[in-house]
Amino acid sequence: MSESPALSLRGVGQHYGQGAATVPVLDDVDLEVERGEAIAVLGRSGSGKTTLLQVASGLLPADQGDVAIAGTALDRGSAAQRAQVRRRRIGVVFQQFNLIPTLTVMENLEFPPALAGRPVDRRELIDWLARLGLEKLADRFPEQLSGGEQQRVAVLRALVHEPDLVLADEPTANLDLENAQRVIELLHEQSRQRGAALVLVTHSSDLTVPMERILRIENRRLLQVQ
Amino acid sequence: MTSLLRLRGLSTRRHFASHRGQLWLAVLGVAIGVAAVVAVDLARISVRASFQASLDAAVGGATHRIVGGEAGIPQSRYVELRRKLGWIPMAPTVDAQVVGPDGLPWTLLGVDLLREEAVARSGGRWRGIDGFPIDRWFAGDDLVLAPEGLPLPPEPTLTIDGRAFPVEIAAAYPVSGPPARVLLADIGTAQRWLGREGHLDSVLVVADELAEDALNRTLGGDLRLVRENTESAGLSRAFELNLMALSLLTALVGIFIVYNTFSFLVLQRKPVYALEFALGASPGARTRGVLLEALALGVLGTGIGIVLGLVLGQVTLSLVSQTVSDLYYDPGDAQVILAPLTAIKALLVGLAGCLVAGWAASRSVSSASQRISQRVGIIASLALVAGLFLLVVPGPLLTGLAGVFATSLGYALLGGPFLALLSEPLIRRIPVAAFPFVGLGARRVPRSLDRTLPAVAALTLAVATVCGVGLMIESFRTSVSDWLDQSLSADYYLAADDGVVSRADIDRLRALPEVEGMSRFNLRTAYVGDTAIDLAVQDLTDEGWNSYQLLDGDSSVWARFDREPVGLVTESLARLENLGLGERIAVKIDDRSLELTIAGVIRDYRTGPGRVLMSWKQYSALAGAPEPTSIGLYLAPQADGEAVERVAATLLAERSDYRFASTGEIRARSLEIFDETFRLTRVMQWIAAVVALVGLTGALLALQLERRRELVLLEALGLTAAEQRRCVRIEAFLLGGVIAVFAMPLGILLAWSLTAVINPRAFGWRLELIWAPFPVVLALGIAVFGAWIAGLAASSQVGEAAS
Repeated sequence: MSESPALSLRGVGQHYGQGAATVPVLDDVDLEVERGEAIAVLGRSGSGKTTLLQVASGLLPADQGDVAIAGTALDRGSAAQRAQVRRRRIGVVFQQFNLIPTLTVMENLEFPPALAGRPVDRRELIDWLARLGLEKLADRFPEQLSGGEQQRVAVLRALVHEPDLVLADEPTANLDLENAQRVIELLHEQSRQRGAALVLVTHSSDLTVPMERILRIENRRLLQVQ
Repeated sequence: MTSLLRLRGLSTRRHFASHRGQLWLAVLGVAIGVAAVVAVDLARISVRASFQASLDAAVGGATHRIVGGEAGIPQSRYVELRRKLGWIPMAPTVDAQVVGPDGLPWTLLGVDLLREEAVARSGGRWRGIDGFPIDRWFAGDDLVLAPEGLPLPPEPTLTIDGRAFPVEIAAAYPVSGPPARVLLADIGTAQRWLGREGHLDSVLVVADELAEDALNRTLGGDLRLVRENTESAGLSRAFELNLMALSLLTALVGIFIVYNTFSFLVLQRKPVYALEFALGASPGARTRGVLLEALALGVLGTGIGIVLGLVLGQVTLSLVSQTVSDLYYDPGDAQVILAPLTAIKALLVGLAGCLVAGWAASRSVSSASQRISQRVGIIASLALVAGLFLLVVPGPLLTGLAGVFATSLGYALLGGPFLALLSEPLIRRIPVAAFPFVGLGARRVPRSLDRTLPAVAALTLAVATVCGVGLMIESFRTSVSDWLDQSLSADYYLAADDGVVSRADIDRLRALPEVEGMSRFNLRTAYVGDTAIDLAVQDLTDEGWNSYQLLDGDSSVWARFDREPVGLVTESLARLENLGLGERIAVKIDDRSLELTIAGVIRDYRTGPGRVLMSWKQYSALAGAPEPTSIGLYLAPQADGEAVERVAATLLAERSDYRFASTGEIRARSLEIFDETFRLTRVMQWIAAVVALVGLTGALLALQLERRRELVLLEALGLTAAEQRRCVRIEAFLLGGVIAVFAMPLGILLAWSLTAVINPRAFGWRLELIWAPFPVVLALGIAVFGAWIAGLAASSQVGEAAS
């Protein structure tokens, strides 16, 4: 287990476009999230929340600053190296389209550990599903599930390969209140149980689950709210 | 309304402006479909035009030739014929081998230029020659016309039968292709030089069935009417049938590709259409909008496709011309001709294809995909059943061809959903946990099969064609090869083109100690009912009996052959005239009618209505001894053929119409002709296969665009671009494999249809379907390797789509 923070951003800056059309999105962002810690990042639409997650996951290389996942520098590697870090150390949950449509629920869960080269214990996966009341859906395809069911499976999928960090980008935006609450609780509980850091990005401050820290993106900078 | 159209137009323009790749993919899809149809059709029409021109140049418009006995045709008989049957175009000729001033053999052809014009379109060319001395020509001066391109002195000397004749070159006549060593002279002048005054070697005739009938009734004695260039005509028919069938197939593949492209384009914007519908736009307005887009894309794609087709046409034409020049003639300046029918076909595939695809795709927006699949399934099943019915129930060639196309279409369309259903349980056995990339690539296959139904159908058709036509060709070749082995039982053959093999020549050959036996053969035109057939009269040696394969009847026929008035009919004639064993037929020849009992049906792969084979002895008893038009020579065991070849060379020098060849030469040449004929088919098969693979590439590329969100998810899960590309290649490879396996039964069905249905209906003979591994392996290879290449091309899109 690593001693380093699950996520470390130092002086990260990011912009879109070039020349006169350059639009700065993030400026001098510093952030450290420890394993087992859950934080929420709030902000208005277009404030740069999704960009922050993309930089943190290595989907976008940072224009400025340093990014490290559990001590592994992400900003200096190639796209393939960043992908290797992602598959071993990061779990992701998006707003929608979280599951691979051609794989069943069980196969979607088997996929990340298989990618990370970790053994897959099907019985354990079925136990997980059973605890969430989803065991009957194991052989169904994503299109046969409701939105809430898809998001709950996505939460499990994000944690199944025991990552250091879970990045969730507005995972409840398309869900009703009841389902949104269940998904957030699940995400929080499971991350904590598995000792993974959770970074939850949302535009809503109406959080139903207490987070260790709440941050806000304003004027391209990350500010601590609570 | 106008405003709505304008807004929709703006929306469409902006959609394509931000999806330029998709737009060009769509245009390319339409263009490739159109280009393939245009290119194949251009090659077909251009070569056909050139082929026809070549036939005209070789035999003019003459369909038949009247030949006489050893002494030729008395000119008085020709005059009598002209008096009785003046309405039939005829032209007298004499010809002989002479020695030119260069010491080489030349053919001297004596023609009546005025008469020859009526039968040989090439003959009228002398009128266009500048300074042609028309008065001196017809006055009987010693003038000849020499071919352009072969230099001769202005006043050369010709050696005819050892005597020298100084002549004058009146002019050079134009030639298309390489010039032949033929000198033209006025027929009267040539007769004088050759010492054949009052005699003709042959009379060229243009005859339809009526004229043929009238001539056969009028000709008597030793005058015979023979068909001109029947071999070429037969080959021409086979050639045409091949190209026509494959051209239609390519059109079908092209239509599938156009539909595939367009349905993708519309279905990708389904959410936009749903939004418009929610805002109050009627389905009719949506359909109109889609049709306008289809029209614009169709015009653009068809235009590019026609230009592309013209370019591709040059390539296919050069490929086809190479084959044609090896086999039939030198097409030389064969030009790509854009015939109106080709342009109509291009518009039909491009514009109509887009409009129909647009309409169908627009309808599909508001229909459940399951319902569409059901409809396609019902139509495909009906087409399959109807096609099989047309193949099984006896009928004309046209219904047979319709059966082949309906069966192929139905089967190919069933492919997508059927394969998806069939492959899913198998593919689900691949454990994703153990093989994540193979598993992911494989799991996409059933869905891709369903989503790319037209492209799957196109590839299924192309692969089945490669397999089916390949099996047919292999079966055909093996049958022809076996038939040649069996038919050519003698060691050498000597044939007289324009007359009969003289008794003296036969005696010279028979006198050779190396010659152990000889079979005589007389071939002439006769009639069974109103059908002109070949009557083959043969005195067979014991070995010769083995040269015929009985399809109906038993070997006792050979014991009756010489003793009773029996005839053996070829399969094609039996089929055409519905003749069976034991039936009696009246074979009309000259002014006689020979009553024969059918004792057997024999295999024969010649084109034409067929022939009746009867014994030399029986014919002599019924109609008098015939003269042999060809003979077969059987050598003694261990005998060296050199002496025979030496004598034959002497005979050939004396008689220019003799042809002499060993069995090996005839066999090799026949198979060479066979292979050359089908090389054209192979070129067309490759075109159809390439077009289908381009279609599959387009479909796979479109799938990657459609999967953009999935690719982003996979990237977030940690798949590198290289791994994502690997998944696409695995998917394409498996897709190709599944389609290849599915296409095989259709390929075998096609092979069966061609050998057991189309060939009998087109040519009268049935082939045995022979299992040959090569076409099957080739078809599998094309599908799998081609799909893998398509996957390589499509996977190049992945990096862009994922980022």
